[in-house]
Amino acid sequence: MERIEELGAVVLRGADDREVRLGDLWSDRPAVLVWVRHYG
Amino acid sequence: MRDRHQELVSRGANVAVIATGLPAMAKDFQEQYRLPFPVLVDTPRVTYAALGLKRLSGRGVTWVLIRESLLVRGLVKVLRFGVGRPKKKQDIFQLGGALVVAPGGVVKLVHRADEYTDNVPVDALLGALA
Repeated sequence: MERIEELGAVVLRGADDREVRLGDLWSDRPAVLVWVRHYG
Repeated sequence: MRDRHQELVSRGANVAVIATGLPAMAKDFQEQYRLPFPVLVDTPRVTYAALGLKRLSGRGVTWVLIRESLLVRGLVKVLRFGVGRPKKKQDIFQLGGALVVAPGGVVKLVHRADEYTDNVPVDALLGALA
């Protein structure tokens, strides 16, 4: 996917208030990310 | 996915869920469903756009309007406020998806939901990790 670098640079805040750079999730391990529609 | 989280972790994967809305909503969501993985908040839906995730259209919109309007919010609220009001900072027509990435950024699986019920099977996620 041509936009994986773009996605990897995104920093999101977690429910625990910690910031996560998405690219860090797959820097040395595989990553599974699931996008949900909404909270219902 | 919650119930099979350990299978994903046993294959060495970092697992995370990304959702719209507000951080407090994500926290409630994580606690309510006892999710053992991080729930990340993407209020402006930057990652949804980057991954090319879709929004409902056509019959899917009709179904969601009916569900949101009649079953969840109730007819009285519909009459008072109109149909399909999304909860704060959410888009009820937004669809989900999934991504499996190998170390170093090699994409192994991309799933972009085509409709409301189109969820990626956990077996597919596990297969992409094999």
